Amino acid sequence: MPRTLHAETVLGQSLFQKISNCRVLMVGAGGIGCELLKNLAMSGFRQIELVDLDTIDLSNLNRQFLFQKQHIMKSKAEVARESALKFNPNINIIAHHANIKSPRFNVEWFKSFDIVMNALDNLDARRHVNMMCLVANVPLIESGTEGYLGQVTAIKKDETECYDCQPKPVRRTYPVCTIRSTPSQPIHCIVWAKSYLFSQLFGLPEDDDDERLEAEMTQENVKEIENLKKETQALKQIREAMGTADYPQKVFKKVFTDDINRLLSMEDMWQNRKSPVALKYEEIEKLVTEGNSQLNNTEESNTLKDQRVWSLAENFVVFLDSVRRLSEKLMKEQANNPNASLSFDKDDPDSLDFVTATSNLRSIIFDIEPKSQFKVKEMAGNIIPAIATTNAIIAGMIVMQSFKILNEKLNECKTIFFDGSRRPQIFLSESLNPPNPECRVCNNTHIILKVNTKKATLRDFLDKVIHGRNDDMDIGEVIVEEGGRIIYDVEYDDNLDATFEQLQITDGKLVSVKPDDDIDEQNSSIFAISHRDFETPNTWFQVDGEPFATRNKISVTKSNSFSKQKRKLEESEVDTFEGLSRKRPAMNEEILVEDDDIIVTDSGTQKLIVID
Amino acid sequence: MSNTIITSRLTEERRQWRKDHPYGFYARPQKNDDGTLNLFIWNVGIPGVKDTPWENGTYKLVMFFPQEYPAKPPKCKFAPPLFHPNVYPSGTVCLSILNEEEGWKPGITIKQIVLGIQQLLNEPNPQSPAQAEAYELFKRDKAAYEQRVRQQAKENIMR
Repeated sequence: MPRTLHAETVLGQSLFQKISNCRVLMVGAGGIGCELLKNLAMSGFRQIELVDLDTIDLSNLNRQFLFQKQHIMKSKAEVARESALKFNPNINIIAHHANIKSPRFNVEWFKSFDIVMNALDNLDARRHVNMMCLVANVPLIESGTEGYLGQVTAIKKDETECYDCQPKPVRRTYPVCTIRSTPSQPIHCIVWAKSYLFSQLFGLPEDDDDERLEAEMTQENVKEIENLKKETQALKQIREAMGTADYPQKVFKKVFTDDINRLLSMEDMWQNRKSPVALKYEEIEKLVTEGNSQLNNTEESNTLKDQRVWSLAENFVVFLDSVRRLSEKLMKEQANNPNASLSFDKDDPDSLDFVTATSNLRSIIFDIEPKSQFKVKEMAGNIIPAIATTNAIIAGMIVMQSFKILNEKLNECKTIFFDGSRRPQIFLSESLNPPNPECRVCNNTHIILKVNTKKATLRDFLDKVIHGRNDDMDIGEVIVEEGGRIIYDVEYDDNLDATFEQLQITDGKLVSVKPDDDIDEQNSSIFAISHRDFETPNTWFQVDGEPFATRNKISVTKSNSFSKQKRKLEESEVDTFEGLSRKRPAMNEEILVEDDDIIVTDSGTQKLIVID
Repeated sequence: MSNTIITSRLTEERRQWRKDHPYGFYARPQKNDDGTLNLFIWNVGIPGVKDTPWENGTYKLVMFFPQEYPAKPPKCKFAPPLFHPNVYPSGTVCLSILNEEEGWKPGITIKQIVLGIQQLLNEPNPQSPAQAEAYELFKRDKAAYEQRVRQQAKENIMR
């Protein structure tokens, strides 16, 4: 009995066939990715490419079940592939240990997939894949989890909202004065330990610090800000004593005694707040010596020590010791490179000890609840709790959505919200929204521009691609922008005779061209640049798509490098760009050859298969 | 690839400014080494209002747009730093519409920002001093303060 029999029976012949022919790209092989790859491998997908830039870490193993201890430090993408092939050797998985933003994953590569699935953990990569899928016009399934919460949605150019149609929350920052002078929550003390004291003592102090401080100056705290700057200066001097036996003690006295006493002298500050209590080195030292036997006698495993909140004496001892350890480490590195510095790493025991002890001592001073090392690690490392079950459920939903897309029933896809803590109704779903007309990311025309970037100039581009196609439909003046750079506009024509390459508009870049008039101000045409060694000026360009299509200016792409049959295909694609036709062209028993791509039409399923 | 939301907004700001900007002001993205214009850093000139001690001067300012723009405001920095109660010694302008926790809204345009800063020149806000020198002279001796501002205007006449 073939292993796919069940899937085939449940899904039906036609869908199952589509699944086996489908080329799927998976971005990310972490928490969701491992579950997803397993699902894909077991539900009939046969052509899978996956990309992940990460290597396997010990902390992944509790939930990323394709990885085992012997795989630590190895590529996630490659190990995930090997593990998945062990339980289904009959499928084809290509693994890329690389950044999805790398130029080799260009629009044409994205276009070679039928569906893209995101299993990512960061905004930047999600935005990138969203953009590439819009340009390539490939459906994308987007997902994410955090603890008991999870979410899956489907994105298709011109039909649904894209990832950027709704604004995303901005990262939370804390006012510098709260961190430096008036902490009131454990996180304030942790940020102080990690971002301020750690970098002042062992790292490259942020140049911007004074400026961020200045930005909060008000009538009341002008003096306080001046003092805080002096405080930083004094700490820099103490840093020169690094390596001496009493260095840890000096630092302790400075930050936990002197600086606190100075804060206390600003009486106004404490009228409506509980005033801090400075720590006295000698007193705690005495406490430690007296209680020494107790400290050493506690026989507890590391795990337990991790979960328990330390006493004042314990924090004191760990603080002094971790300052010593980190100083030694830094001086060792500086022996080789005088500019060496340390940066906080939640997985480095020395820096975690330092941040735990430092933040707890500061918490004790300000009467804030101290935290266990485990909790400090989570807060300082911005660790988002991950639950294997949530990932598994979400990965399952991704595959369910992909079935609907492959069945050409995008309208049945939903945005699914999962909340494992809200029982019994753990799922909520919403219909997909249409694109946000205000969206600056998807409300554009996307075009692939094949161009000899070494030969073609900006002037050639404007003359041949933007203007000079059909005079009465001319778009008028335009603005050309790439990667935050204005290349050309009416008042800036310096670059007309520079080549694409000279302007650093190379393979994989996205060039935005926007009409200069006031009609339809949001809509740009985005050209995905694809270098080709075209040799004659007439064929320096080949445009796949219709620029400014939404302005209803239809003209036929001028190019003499197409065969008649190829043109037939182009025009069908143009249709898709304009949203007039959703379906790919049905072409029977024709084989078209263009560059190195072979496009085979399969008359049985009326489906295009693109083979690299 | 930089974020499309930011670059498309900044391209639009540049287009709007080219088509319509207040008299006496200039604002243009800084030139990159490769000959293109950097949308993230703009050089701006703000003229002093007529009939105030600031008149005849055009004060140079640099606007830096952060990666979170327009959710976060641009940083506006007079270069060289300006003698003004609400300008930090580093040159950075302290103005409520430029503070993300106060008056900043993503819809505020570059034109509105530069007009706001122009207005601030002769209408300093003593509630939020940013440099001791100008703030103290402003409170203690208005005549001497205005004298100093006039001197500064002379030093900032656009060539």
